[in-house]
Amino acid sequence: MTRRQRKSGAVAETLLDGTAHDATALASLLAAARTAGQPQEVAGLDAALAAFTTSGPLAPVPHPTAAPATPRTVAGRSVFIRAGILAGGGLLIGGAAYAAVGTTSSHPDERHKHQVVEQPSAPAGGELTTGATLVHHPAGSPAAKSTATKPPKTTSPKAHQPAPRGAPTSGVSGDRGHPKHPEHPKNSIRGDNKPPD
Amino acid sequence: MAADAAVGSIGLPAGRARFAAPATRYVAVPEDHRLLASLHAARSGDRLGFEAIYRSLAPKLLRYARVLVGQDAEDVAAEAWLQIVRDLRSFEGDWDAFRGWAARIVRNRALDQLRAVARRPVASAGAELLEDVIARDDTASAAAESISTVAALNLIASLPQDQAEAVLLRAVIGLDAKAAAEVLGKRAGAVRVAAHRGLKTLAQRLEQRSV
Repeated sequence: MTRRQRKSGAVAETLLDGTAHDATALASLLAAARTAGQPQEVAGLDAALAAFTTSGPLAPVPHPTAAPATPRTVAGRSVFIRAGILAGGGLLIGGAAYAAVGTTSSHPDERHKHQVVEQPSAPAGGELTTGATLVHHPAGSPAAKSTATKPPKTTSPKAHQPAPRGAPTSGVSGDRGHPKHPEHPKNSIRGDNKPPD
Repeated sequence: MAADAAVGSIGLPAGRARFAAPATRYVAVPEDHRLLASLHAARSGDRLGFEAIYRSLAPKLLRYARVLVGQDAEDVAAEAWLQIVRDLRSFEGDWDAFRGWAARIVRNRALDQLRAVARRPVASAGAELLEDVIARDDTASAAAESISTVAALNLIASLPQDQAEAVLLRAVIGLDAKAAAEVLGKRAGAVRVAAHRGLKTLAQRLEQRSV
């Protein structure tokens, strides 16, 4: 910055501060712009005083409004988040359990498996073991008597129903074996279920 | 004349003093001390203290608003004073800080007003329109021997927006470069440069007027 620029800057600052003691046109212009207020320029004094009385420093402080629905404190937010996590976890576990139970009997093939394993056949004089193999006992034998008095271990209500007349003598009522694979090993039950010649 | 030589040294043409000399010269320090006491009293709820600061500051704020929004200046100033009264309880600072705080409120309300005018379909006197009106005005070429405060403000308002605000905040409201920069959201150096350029432009226009 040159000396002239410094000097011009200093003169401009004195003009802006109002400390320039000269009578230039520019100084007079700035002095006219900063003259004391005219009466019309303070015409809003009454309104300002009224506002000062009603809402000034001595006015009562308005009370805060009602508490918001969502917690704003850190502790409130923590409890809120924990409750949400617990609810979400419960729903997740419950949904998984329901899905595990529901899918075991929803698919036809899966239902077929369970019926084969759990439902006993109702052949006359026959006994369905848990291994899904049918063991024939002659009528009147002690084994036949013992099994005749025991209720079959099953969970399906269909197992309590007697086999309809004329129904095939497969192990399970209504069971047709594997529908798509006649040679499926599970369908061998049908052959084993035939009464001996 | 030494003063004219000094003005000419900064590039400002030395013109004749066509303006009426102010009756009272601007004296900063004693007035500021008195107004600072009035400000403390007003913050305590004293009506006389508030009246003193209103009588001192309201004309300056109104002139600043007039440069910003033109004929809507009184509405802007009234809204600004309502906010000043409402927030006076929370203000902390001296008289210089209070002037800057009040000027910032006026500027914000003026900008709100300009935005509202821009949304309004009917044309109104915003800052740009005010500049057009002033440009058509022959203030700079008037042959009057003296100039009123309004004419001086119109001449200042004919400057570019940043220069006009810088000159108003520094010369009329009495802020220093740092406080004016806080009001305008700029650096103090930028405000200082804008004010100096504004003074140079004003001096050139006054010189054209005197020729």
